[in-house]
Amino acid sequence: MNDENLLKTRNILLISAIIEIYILFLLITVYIMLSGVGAC
Amino acid sequence: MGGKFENEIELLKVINVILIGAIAFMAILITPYFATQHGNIIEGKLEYMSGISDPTNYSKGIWIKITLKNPKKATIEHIHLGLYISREIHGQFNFDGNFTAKFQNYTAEFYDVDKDGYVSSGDVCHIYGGILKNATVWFDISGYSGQLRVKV
Repeated sequence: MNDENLLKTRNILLISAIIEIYILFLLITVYIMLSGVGAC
Repeated sequence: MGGKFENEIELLKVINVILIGAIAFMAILITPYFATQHGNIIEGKLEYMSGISDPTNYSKGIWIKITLKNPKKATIEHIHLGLYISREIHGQFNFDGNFTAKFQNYTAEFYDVDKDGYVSSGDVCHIYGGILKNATVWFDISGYSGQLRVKV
């Protein structure tokens, strides 16, 4: 693979990681909300 | 330069795998809460049908009819009942072989409708003695994975 392709792959993985961190953050927020007492 | 990107790519791959794992874990953790929220079944074992009377009425209290699926019967000593008002724990009722438990002014009474000596499906719980607006009643049965939360 040349540098351009590697850069593309790296960028895709980087964007994926950022999106995953965002999803994880949302899930943790939802979990905290739901596990809070009274949040039926 | 290529080597540098390759290292970064390897690192990002590992980070992605860890993040996907964490997302899957959180999703598994959250799923039962949605079951609690939208269905009458908690972890497929315990369900409730609530017949809640006026929560602002001091004398009436709340009535909760329970259904136990597995186990079908529980001894009263195994029932723990938490009362939360406005998300704050207010009291915990522990039953010592008696179908009635008290906490401060609140009383929780189980009615053994089928008179089998156990808490089983169709039995009702009556909680009264104080304002129960914004209350959440939390049922927990020892040795039993199902938990039941009923919001008033």
